[in-house]
Amino acid sequence: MGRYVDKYRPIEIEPKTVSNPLACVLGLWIAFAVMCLYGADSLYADVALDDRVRGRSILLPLVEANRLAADTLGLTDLNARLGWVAQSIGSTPVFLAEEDLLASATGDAGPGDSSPSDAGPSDAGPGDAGSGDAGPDVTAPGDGAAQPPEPPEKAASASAGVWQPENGLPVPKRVLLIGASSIQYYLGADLERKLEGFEGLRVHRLGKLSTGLTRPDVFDWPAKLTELKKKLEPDLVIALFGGNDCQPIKAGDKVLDFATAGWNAVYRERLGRFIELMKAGGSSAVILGLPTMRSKRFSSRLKKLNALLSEGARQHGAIFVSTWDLSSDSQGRYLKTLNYKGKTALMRLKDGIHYSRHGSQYVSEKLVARLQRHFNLVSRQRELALAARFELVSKARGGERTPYLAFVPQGTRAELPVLFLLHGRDGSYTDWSEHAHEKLQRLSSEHQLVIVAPDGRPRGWYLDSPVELDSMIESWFFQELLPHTMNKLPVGALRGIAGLSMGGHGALVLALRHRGQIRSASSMSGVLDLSALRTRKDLVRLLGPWKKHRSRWESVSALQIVRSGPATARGLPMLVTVGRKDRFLKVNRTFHRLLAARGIAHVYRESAGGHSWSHWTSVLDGHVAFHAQKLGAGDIAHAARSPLHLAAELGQLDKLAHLVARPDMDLDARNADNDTPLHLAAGRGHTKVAAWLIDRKVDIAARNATGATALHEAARQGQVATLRLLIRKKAPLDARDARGRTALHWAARYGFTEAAEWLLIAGADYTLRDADGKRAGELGPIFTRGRIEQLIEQAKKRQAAKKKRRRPRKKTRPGSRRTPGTKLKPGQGPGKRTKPKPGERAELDGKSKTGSAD
Amino acid sequence: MLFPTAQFALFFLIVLSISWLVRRKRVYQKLFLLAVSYFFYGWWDWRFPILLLVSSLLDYICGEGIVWCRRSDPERTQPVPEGAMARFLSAFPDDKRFWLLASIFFNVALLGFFKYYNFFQENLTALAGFFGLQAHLAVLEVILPLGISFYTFQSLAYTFDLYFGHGDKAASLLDFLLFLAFFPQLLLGPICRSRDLLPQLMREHPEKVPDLTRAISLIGSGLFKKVFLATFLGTHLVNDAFVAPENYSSLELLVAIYAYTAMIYCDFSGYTDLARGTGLLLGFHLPENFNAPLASTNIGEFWRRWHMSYSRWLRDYIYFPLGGSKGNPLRTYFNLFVTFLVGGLWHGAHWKFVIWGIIHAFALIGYKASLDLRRYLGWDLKKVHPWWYLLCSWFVTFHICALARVFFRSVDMETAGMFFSRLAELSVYGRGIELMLLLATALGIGLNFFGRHIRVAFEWAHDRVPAFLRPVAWILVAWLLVTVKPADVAPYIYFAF
Repeated sequence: MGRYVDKYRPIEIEPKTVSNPLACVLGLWIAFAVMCLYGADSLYADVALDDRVRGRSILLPLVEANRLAADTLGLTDLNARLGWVAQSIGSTPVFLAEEDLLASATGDAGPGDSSPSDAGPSDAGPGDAGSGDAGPDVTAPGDGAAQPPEPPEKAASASAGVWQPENGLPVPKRVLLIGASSIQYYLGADLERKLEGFEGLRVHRLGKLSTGLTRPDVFDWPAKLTELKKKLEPDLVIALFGGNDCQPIKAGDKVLDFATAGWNAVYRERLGRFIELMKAGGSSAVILGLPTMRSKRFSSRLKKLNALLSEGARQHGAIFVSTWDLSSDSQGRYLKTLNYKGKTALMRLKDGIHYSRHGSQYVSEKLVARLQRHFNLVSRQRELALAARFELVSKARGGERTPYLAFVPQGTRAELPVLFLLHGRDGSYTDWSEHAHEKLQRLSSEHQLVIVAPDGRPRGWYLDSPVELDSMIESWFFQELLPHTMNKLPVGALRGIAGLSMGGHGALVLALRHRGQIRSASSMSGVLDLSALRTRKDLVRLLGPWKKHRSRWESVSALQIVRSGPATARGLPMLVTVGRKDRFLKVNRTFHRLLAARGIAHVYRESAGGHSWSHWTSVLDGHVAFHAQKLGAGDIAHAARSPLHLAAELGQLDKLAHLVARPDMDLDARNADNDTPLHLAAGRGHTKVAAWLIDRKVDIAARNATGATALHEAARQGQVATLRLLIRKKAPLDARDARGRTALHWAARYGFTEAAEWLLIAGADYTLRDADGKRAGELGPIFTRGRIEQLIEQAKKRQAAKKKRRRPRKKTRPGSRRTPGTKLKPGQGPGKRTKPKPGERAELDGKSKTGSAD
Repeated sequence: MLFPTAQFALFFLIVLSISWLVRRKRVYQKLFLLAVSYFFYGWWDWRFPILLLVSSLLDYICGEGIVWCRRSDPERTQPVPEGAMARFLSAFPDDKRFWLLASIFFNVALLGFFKYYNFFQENLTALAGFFGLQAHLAVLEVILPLGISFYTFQSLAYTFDLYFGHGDKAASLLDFLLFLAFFPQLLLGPICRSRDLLPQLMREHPEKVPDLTRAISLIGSGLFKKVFLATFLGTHLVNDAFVAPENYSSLELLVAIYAYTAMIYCDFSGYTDLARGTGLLLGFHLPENFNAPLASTNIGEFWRRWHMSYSRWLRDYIYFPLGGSKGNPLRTYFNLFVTFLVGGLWHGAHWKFVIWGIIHAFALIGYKASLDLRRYLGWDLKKVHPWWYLLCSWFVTFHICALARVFFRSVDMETAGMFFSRLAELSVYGRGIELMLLLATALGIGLNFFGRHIRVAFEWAHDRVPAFLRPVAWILVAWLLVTVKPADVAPYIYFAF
């Protein structure tokens, strides 16, 4: 350190005036007393209603006396009046507000759009058609925000094919998110972000720090809610209150302590009224539960409040979504750190109350997954499947309502294979969703598989119990669940079952016992031999004692089934996985050795982990991929990825035909986008391949998912040679796709003037308007539009000339003047001219006369 | 207790009364003030005063040690410790550097643990993960004691000053404890130097209340800025805009930046005003912390006007020891960079504060470089600039600071990024801004320009009021404040420091 120069200048202390301390202090006390009188009401509220202070006897009487004095002096009245004045000054106009808070870019269909159960696919409104169309139509960059009236022809069929869940659950469009500080800050912001990730959803959020239902004098939530509902007209209201409600309530003149009988009654009533307000006008109401807190006292209070909230929600028809388990560990205590997305960090802020960024991201993701069980929400990300909950009333289970959660890829039109994911012991249909919701959404979409997570009683063991007559889970599965899914979901006869632990047992046993109905089965840490659990009370209750009913036990144990009759297992694709620390490792190994000894093909994998969700979520990918492959989903699933399509796309089909095309193969096979190989070849400009395909009589007018024919594809990509080939082979020139566009529209749209020219020469109709009302000449980049218009002019002239040429021919009468020098050829005399010779007008009349698909 | 609450008012009045009552018995008065300060601090959490006590004791011993080691220094002005203390100190190495390092170690360790442990743990884990290793530091939930940054720095200043021979040594342990714990400046107050506060504690207490007018004007302005302006701006636009910027249009976010500038100025300078005012009523003068900072025309001036006690601390104990501007220009820039890196990090354990510090560092480096360039080119540095030049430089300075403040306020880097991308979208219409908000922002920023005039006018008026009518004037002021008070009192932004 160098030479230090002191640059600091101390403050100067030279007071200008001095005052008598007694006078000052006295004066301050007087001012304070007067202000206390003035603010007597709020002071009283602060002291009397803060139960940390109420206990301290000295302040309460003081404040009471203060209030009395203020009343007698009439100051409270004055206060109220002045407050009103202040407020009216404060309410000033708002600048730069959006015109219409209700309008949104996706085009709201209006408040009447919330019951999809009677909206079948064919009468889908504009909003729904948009969601079905926007997916596959990747080539059209965002023109046309609002969906115009459907073009007459087959455009409706494009959106008609997309599957929509018919489960009677509402489809919210406008969400109102209200609450206290959690909603104002991180949790609310993250919830809002996640909710806006859903199609057609618009969220409005209002959180106010330190508010609740117990202190309407601080903030009147019912009044605010009424105002917000009138302004925004939401169809879903989500509320998170209670964190600030653990305080005394002032009812009339009495002050009721928290959690006393009187307090509970008043709070229940306020809550009930509030929920009714939330539901007014047909909205759905969701009450979010309160989490644990670091302070044990606070936690126990919130537990009581949660009980009140859930009871109130149930009574008044609101949905209660708990967050207690998200914020506590396995013993129900405050969870300090959280491992989420690979990062371990504190879940709360320093106050031990509010969520940190990390915590709120986790909680909001889980909450949104839970909300998807109550509402039909479609993610904006196309690679996330739809999660929809269905319910069926089961006779085999004694009239029990059995829900199931189905993951269906977005934009599904055709039937897909289905994979049933069974839960384990003491679980329910929500288990898989709770642990791997987004993963299942992705897997379902990626493998084009419908995944169903049903509810087979916590201890039902997926079997028909001869003892407990309403526990016929196996019958329920095959006689009730399967038909229900085939009715409600876009599934066919290709089915697979997978499950964990008790579900692993269920998967293998159900598949082995019903070979005809199930194509593939897999088990994760499955309980493959029930005989090993012969002392378990729930199994004994279902099957009877093991000693007496051994055959029963063995008929529902996977291991024993294979042992007694290996033939049942042969030919069934099976995947068995287990963790090396699992307690069922031995029985799984035995099963594997048994299958190997009997020569039954199966896949067996051991990996790290135990009987835990972290292990099961890690092996889930493998199981779903296994089923996807075995159920043949790969054949039609991956766009252009079947060998036939791939060869066509790469332009090698004609050369590789002997390798990829089987003799009985359908050359019109469709991939996931409903493209035939001809579409792909035409789009890539592989003329030889296209010619090869056409020679083999493929459907030249086949339409893909967007209603486009091969001609559209060629025009869209400007593949002139292939286009000319297709024209020559009489592809329908004026065919229109789902957007009402012909090949000419697309050629103009992308500025392919040569392709447009050929189409026009062939006689394409340039007057046709697409779904947006535009003609071919009105589309396209500025720099080619001139040329397109020129071409259209030329086409117009050609048509006019053709018309002119026709007339003189018709007016020719036998014996009328001919052009001098023309000799009549044999057969050209009068009365014999009826049809033009075949080759004569071919080059002029390339278009088919009807102008539609032949 | 938060400052502008009725509880604090009651507490303060009781303290004031008793303090003036026992002012003649100085020791009792100091004991009383100490007890009251610890009570005030313990109101938040009973463990905080214990930490403060331990820290104070350690630093007191370090201070004594430094002076003890300098006992043979001819330039020493402070009294040497004697008796039991001297015997105790002679057991340690006779080098003042030892005591200085000990003090630095204790204070930095304390601050580092309570404030930066989580930050350190997170980043170490991330870094280790980057190399494929596992860092096994436990994730602790460390409660951050309020005001720790402030009193840690204050005691560091004490020991540094003693080391360099500039400061005053506390005459007794009581003085030192009170010096650190004096409740008006404990939580967020001006970082007082030993030469400011210690002499006032050690000598006779004033007979009468010094400068009552000034005290009332300070308290009034503090309450107004804190209770009305800062709370209003916070609850109406700023908090929401920085937590979820995607809900607002670009123009609204721009207004939010200005509103936040006004808000943090009002918040912090409001607290300082309240601290100084209450200190003055008790008979103590606390140093200034803000001197119309938003009217600065260059960044160097900004740091001489904003959070003055803090920037002086950085200058005296980091910048000057590193060499200041003595070496070549590059070395100066480096010193500036390091100073502001530390300065940014002091505000909090988050990369956004580091970014804030770096932005200010670069701004200062740029300013310094321009001064050097002008000097090199031979231009007159003392020249009075024309009005348009000042306007432009004010504009630039204001916006550089506003930009840095976006990082300061944002929740994390991701949200800051979202904020800027939304700002770049140049959209206009959104949720709407109230007229009152624009007025409040303008007022908050405008106070930097005409605040002094208002204060002078108020003080002139207050002086004219006869003594027995003063309570009426105070009631009027208080009533005005209560009428415009918005619903909730927002916690101080700097509170977790």
